[in-house]
Amino acid sequence: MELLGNIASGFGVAFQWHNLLFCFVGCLIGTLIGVLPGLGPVGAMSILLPITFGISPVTAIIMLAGIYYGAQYGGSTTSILVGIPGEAASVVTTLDGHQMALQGRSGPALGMSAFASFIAGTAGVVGLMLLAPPLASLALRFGPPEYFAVMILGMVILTYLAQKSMTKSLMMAGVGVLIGLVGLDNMSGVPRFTMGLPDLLDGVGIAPLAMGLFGVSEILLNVEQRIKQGVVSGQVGSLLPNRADWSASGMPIARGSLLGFLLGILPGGGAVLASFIAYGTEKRLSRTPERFGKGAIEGVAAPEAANNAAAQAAFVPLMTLGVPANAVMGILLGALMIHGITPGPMMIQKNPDLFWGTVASMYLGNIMLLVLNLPLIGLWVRLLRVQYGVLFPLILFIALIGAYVINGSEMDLLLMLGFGILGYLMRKFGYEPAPLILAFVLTPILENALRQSLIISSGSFSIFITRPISAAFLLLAAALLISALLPSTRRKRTVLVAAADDQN
Amino acid sequence: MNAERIGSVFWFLFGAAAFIGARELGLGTAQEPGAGFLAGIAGAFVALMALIIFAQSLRADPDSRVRLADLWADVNWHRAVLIGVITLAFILVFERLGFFLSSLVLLIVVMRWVEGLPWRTALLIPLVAVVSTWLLFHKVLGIALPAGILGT
Repeated sequence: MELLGNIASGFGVAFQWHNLLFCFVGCLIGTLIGVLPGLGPVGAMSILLPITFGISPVTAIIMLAGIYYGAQYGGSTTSILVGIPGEAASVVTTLDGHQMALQGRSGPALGMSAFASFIAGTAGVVGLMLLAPPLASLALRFGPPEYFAVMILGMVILTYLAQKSMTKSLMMAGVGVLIGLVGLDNMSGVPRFTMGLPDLLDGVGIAPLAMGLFGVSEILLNVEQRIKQGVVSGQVGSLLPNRADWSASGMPIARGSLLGFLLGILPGGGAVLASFIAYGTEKRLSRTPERFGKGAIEGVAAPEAANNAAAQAAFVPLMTLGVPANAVMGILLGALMIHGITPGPMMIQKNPDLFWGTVASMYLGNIMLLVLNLPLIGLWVRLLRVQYGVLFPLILFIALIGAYVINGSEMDLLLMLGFGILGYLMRKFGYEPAPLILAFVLTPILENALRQSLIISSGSFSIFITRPISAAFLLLAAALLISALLPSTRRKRTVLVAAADDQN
Repeated sequence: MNAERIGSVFWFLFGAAAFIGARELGLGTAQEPGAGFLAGIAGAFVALMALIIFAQSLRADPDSRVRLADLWADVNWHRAVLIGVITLAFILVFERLGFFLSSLVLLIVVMRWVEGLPWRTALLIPLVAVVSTWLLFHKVLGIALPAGILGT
């Protein structure tokens, strides 16, 4: 009964006209950035962070969340019609989706992608709603050592899943920690790594860092190689999949939703991994695996279901532990903190409107996205034909203004450009920015947890292995690191890297 | 020059500098961690990972080694440099020239001279973008944007 009461109050919040409006705006922007190659949800959310300053925290999170799950919907449109992923989680959709489009079946591919996304997205919200409150109660038992251990596990998982070198990803996590330490030390009041610049006393902002590493660097990489926009010509036709399509896709959607949700909860996991694993699972289970990569509709349904379920599931660790599962959740964490809300086990109790309002808005957002992605498909197809030469100056301009208005500081603009150049070079040299951002966001919590744990234990590191929950997390992290060194795992990783490089 | 080695040397120096900085801040003790405690660990960790990457590059198959020049082969890197320089110029004049003037110049320069768009497009889109951004930030959200030489 309590659950029903909470859901009802959540819908009461979500149905307020301004929340409906911002949910729609978020879904629309999410679809837009998902459709357009070159700007992912991390960049877009950080660019739009300043817009949320003037609105309530609930409305802000509803809009930012809409951008995230909206991007999962929109990314598939570009994957199917253009053959290049609009968003990282849609890379796998390209394999069969674009083949279907080349065979004149772009309509059913787009339709199935939207329906699978809707079904899995809605299932993911149900999972979030049912799982988050009990998990938050459990998390109340977490002390500093458990928090420290779960964050270490999150970073290790993210680096374990890195597409390229795991050593490089681990190193990037270390760099993220160092950048996260810039500014005044909370305990001693000592300025750290500020180079005498007063602007850095408050630390490096998440917005200039994320916009630089993801937004500006992406632009710099794209402008040096002109983006080919080979949209599949001809009419998209009927978007409704036929009976055979549905019967082939039913179970893949169910499995993809479940897999996506489970993998999305993992700190460091997320939509990209979920889509890859869902695709691989369907190929392995199929009686005709040779059809995969040649236009099998299950190859569209399963990864699209998985990435949308994972996108919703990623809210679980953020809302219950205050630990972001990926870089996007890191931006959301930053947004909540800007609004004076600290996510964690007490958040659902202290801010029920925020949690239940956001959850309810996700149901509405999924319906809005279905409407945005099916009847309006023609609009997105036309948008795909807009030249990159028009788009990128506008993206750059919005990023610059967005970075400036947060603090009204020229330093933030310089930082954004600096991180943009760093991100450009990092990608050239094969270093991934995602572990850096996640570690950066986690650093303040990580440092506090480490210091408090050591103070509690009078300086003994054994506190991390004598407490069962913390020991289990650290053991899992160690097992992952050790397994990555095994020759069989190394071989599999090499194959995956080659596959990812082929896609890129 | 081997790209992997250059990258790892850079990050080694970065990690080592962070470690030295952390020592100056004070590492403290395990009972009483200082301001540089975590920074020291992170700096040493970055330097160690960089050394591993360097060692891996020595053992790598010679055919798979990437040279520095290969990273910029077959791409028009001048355009990336040009966009970087234009953005830096925009940042340096933004507060002095003000939001309207600097934004319009940035967009028109990039669209007309870098991208070679027709004058009509290169004037109309920047104008609409700048005015709508001003309306959103200044009028709707009440956030001040620099007026610059055009005054308030």
